[in-house]
Amino acid sequence: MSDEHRSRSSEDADETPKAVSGAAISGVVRGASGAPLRNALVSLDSDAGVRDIAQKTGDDGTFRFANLRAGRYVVNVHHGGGSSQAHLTVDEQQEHEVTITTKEEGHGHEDV
Amino acid sequence: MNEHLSRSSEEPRAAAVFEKAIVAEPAQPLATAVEDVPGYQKPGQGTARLRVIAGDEKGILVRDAADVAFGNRLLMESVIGGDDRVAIRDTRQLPWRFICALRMHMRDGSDFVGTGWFIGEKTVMTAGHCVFVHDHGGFPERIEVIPGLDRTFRPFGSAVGRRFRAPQGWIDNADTNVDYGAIQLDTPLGRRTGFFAFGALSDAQLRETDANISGYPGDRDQASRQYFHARTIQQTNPTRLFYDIDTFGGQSGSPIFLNVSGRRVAVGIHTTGGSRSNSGTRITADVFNNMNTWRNE
Repeated sequence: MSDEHRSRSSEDADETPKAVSGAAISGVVRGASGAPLRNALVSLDSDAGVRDIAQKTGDDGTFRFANLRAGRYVVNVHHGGGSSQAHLTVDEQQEHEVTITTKEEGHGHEDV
Repeated sequence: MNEHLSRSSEEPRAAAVFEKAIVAEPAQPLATAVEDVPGYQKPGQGTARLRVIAGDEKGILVRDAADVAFGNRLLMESVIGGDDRVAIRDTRQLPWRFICALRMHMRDGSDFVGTGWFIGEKTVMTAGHCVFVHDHGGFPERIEVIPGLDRTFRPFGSAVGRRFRAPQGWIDNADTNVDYGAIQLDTPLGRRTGFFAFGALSDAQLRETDANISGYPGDRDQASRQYFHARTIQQTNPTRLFYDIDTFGGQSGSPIFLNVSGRRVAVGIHTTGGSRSNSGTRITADVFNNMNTWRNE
């Protein structure tokens, strides 16, 4: 088995992650009143290909995706029964910040 | 090849027959079927499709999804050629009960959602980027595993995992070629749900086969309902599988599985969406060996 596949465990000594290269998209989701929207699901789409994971916004409505390739991206926000999008072009090694305002009030929704 | 096919919890004797069938003709395509899901019909030839690039048994067909032509279209969603995903109506049934919604709580306080699937009584397989997120503290603090979640209904309850496995290449380099990992539970929840068989199959066995994906997309029901979709595997390379199966954020870690004469065999782990194609980590001999170790730990 190659080193690439060598199994590592969370029980091992401190597995502090190394910094990964690439661009990043971070931002905040706000409700119609401007208040941060908690627990909205945020995901990315891109012609560059993206990891199909979704992030929940925190109490402050923020999210962040890193280790991205340059390309055109869509930030998708899903909340309650609605959705919102932001389109942007990402450059190599750059941090891009977006604010997405939805039609919903910023009280979030119930956890599953 | 026979050492690279695991047994599932479904009908152990029948699984043994299946294993022989695969070993007998490793250079031949498998006769696979789309799962029989009410309301789902695999689209016909008129649906937008990727161009298929021919290759030989051992050759690298494409180096990366970006190398695959998709005409002049530039789609900004990974739901390709129309959205025909269907919800699973009864997640208590096989194989849907093997599949789990994941709720990841990271060490920096952030939360993510993903998908996993049982490969053993205490072991849940998923994407590497679901169990080790580089810019959010690495290994999570905890992941809640909810098999067969159907909106608010949890037919098998849930379990919280605090022990995780991932390959060195993912942890050190975020290498897409080794984007896979596992959650180790303390309770044998998989004893109640059952678990997938998995196999490291040849290019010939994978090419043009009907593959199934089912998981928890974030654009539907807040990632609380399982959605299914199936298409043909279009490309393989030594470490990745490429397909135009509709996916969305939240489905990372979903099983890519075949139905061969009623036997479900996972052959990959969905990781990546894109406008040109979606792709996942292929279960190779190295991946298989780690999975087999992790399921027995």
